[in-house]
Parts: sequence; C-alpha cells; structure tokens
Amino acid sequence: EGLDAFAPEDRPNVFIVFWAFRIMVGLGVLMIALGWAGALLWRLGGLDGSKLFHRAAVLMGASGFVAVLAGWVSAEVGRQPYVVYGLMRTADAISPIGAGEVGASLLVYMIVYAIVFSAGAVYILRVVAHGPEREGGPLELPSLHAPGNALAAAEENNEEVRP
Amino acid sequence: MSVDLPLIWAFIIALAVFLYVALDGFDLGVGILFPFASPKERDVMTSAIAPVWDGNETWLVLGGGGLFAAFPLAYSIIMPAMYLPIGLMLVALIFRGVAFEFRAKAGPSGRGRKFWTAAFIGGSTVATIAQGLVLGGFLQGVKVEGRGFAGGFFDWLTPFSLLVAASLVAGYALLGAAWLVYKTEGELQARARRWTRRLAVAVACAMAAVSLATLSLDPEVTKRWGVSMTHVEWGRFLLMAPLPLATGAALLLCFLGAREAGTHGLRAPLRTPAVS
Repeated sequence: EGLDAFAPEDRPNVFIVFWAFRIMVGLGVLMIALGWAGALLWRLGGLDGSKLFHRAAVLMGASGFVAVLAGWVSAEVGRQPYVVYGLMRTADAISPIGAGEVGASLLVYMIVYAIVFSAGAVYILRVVAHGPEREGGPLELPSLHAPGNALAAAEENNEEVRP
Repeated sequence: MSVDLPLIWAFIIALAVFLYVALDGFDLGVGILFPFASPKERDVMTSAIAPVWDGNETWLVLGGGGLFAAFPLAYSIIMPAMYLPIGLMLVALIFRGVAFEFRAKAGPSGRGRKFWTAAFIGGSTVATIAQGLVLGGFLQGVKVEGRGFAGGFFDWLTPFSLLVAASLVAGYALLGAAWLVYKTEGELQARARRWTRRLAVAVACAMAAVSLATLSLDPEVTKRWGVSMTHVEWGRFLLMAPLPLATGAALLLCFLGAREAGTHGLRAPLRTPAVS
C-alpha cells in the first residue's frame, strides 16, 4: 500500500524521512567504496602515493557520525505519530513536565555538547597535526601492558601509582 | 513454580545503585578532593582512578535502565519529579568524564588546563550534590495523583534534601580519600590518611544529623524505629539499634585504619618508628 492508504494524521514527515534514509544509505555505500578502493590500491602498491584517496579518506572522516545521525533521524521521525508503532501515539505518552522546562534542558544540553565537541575537535586536530610519533622500526612496549590499555597509561603517567 | 520477577528486579536495581555508590563514589570523591591537593598530586590522583572510572559509572546506567524497564510506572513518576536534579547530574557527569581526557590533552599548564581542572572538580561536586538532592527528594515523598506525578517543579528542594546532599559530598570524599590511601604512596598517601580521618568524623556527624532529620519526615519512620523527638520506645529501638551501631563501628575502623603507615587496624605501634 502506498502512503495514500494511510490517513493524513497517521503519516510521518515524508521529506525528512526520505532524505535522512538516503543520506544514510548513500554514505554507507561510499564507505564501502572507500574500503574497496583502499584495498585495491594496497594490492597495487599505490596506497602511499594516491593523493585522491588520501583526500577522500579525510573527507569521509565524519561520515560514520553523519550516517548514524541520519539513520536515527529517519527511525525516530518515521515512527511518528506513534511512539509504539501502531499501538500508542506520541501525544498519549507525554510526561507532566512543561514545555518551558523541557526546552530549557534541551538548550542546556546543546550548549554542553557545543563546548565538549568543539574542545574535542580542537584537541583531536592538535594530535593529528602533531603526527605519528616515530617512523618505521618495531614497536617498543615501554610497559607490561599493551599501549592502548588504560593501565599502561596510568603507569606511564606516574611511577608512584601501585598497579 | 512462579518466579517473583518484580522482587528479583528490585534486588538487581538496589544492588546496582549500591555498587554505583561504592564504586563511582570514590571516583567522584577524588574529584571533590582535588582542590585540596597540589598540581603534581592531582596528576597522581587522576592516574589512581583513570583505569576504572568508566566501568564504575556504568552501574548507574544499569540502575536507571533497570528502573525504566522493570518499573516503568515508578520511572514515569520519579523522573518528572526529579527532572532538574537529574538533568544537573547528567550535565555534571558529562563534564567530569570529558575533563579526564581533555585535562591531559590541554598541555601541562595554561588556560585550557585550568578550565578542564575546574570542570573536573565542578563536575564531580555538582554530580554528588545532585545525587544527594535526588535521594533527599525521594525520601521526602513524591506527590502522586492517580497514575501520574502531580507535584511542583521544585518539590525536591528543601533543607532536608540540602542536608542529604552535603552529607553525600562528605561521604564520597571519604570514599575517595580511602581509595587514595589504598592506591598511592609517600606524601600523597599521608595526606590522604589525614583526609580520611577527618572525613570519617564528618561522615559520622552527617549520618547522625540525617538520621535525626529523617525522623521528622513521616510518622511511619518514628513508628518503625521506636524513636521520636520526645520519647524512645526501647523495645522497638533495641531491635533496630544494630544498624547505627554497625555503621559507627565501621567508621571507627576506618578512622583507626587510616592512622600513619605501619600502624595497622586496631593494633597500636609496638615501638615508635626510628627517627632518621
């Protein structure tokens, strides 16, 4: 059945759902394509030299994040006007909290995330600009634990801490 | 055989909340103690909780999620009632968690480092206060009408809940100080021992104050404990007395155990340490 088979009050916002879903799937296809291109270049030995691939990889850096957001938007908007699909409408599920309070808390979360994500982006870019630590050579493990292990970071930070 | 699922879930949630308080208590406590430590000591303190704080915080998620899944009606009444303290707690926990990493990445000194150190301290302290407010607000009772919350937006804000919040700050600080005694050595450990002793006394006083204040909340409480402001019913109270007595004993053990290194538990030092 097409959209016409449902009454207008039972339909979600088609524009948002349509584009969010296509963004998500499109980015997914691009991610797979990037992976295949990388594998192909690696096989042919041209991975280090291919500027186009490097640029594409940088541009695709945020793609996972955007795809996940698009997916969630299409799921949440597509489910409307139901909160439990087919059984309970969102309008019947609201809590006794005023719109002002909810709006205020949403604003606070947006501000908090703006601060945290901006700072995070700055620090990540700083780390990226700093570049990898050393060229070539085997990995030296300075501690008993694997480098990514939190205990290794704790030991490395200060010798005074007992393991 | 029928399985009493609500009882099992109630037990799981209670266990999750207990484990959260015990585990994230010391993480938040270390953050609360930050202002009292020197910059170099602060780095050691962060290292002492860095490997475990993430996992410790997730017990809260189990408790909250369990409440949502197993007791949705209670969840739908408690969450609107505690909207502001819980929102405040979440924002504080976000800042506390992020400050861990960003403090290190911001370089050894400067504005960035100062900001994220403040975020760590503020996040830990505000999260603790907010949890205390939720606890106090919950103990006071939540106005319910039919199947919904029917109270005001600031119902939870009373002198009682503020007292509970202050006590929780002392309690978590005690947990943090004791964790530092366990995990560090040298001068920081000596400071942590001093903190532990002072906080053990503070927590004992705080618990006494909150216990007395709770008596004024509801006639049910005075009935159960057999103690009221004017009269003690010894038959009832002696049955319940082991609880405060055990708590007092635990705090005393904590106080004695935190004496200078070399004096363990209740044994006094056999000889004075050699002076070099």
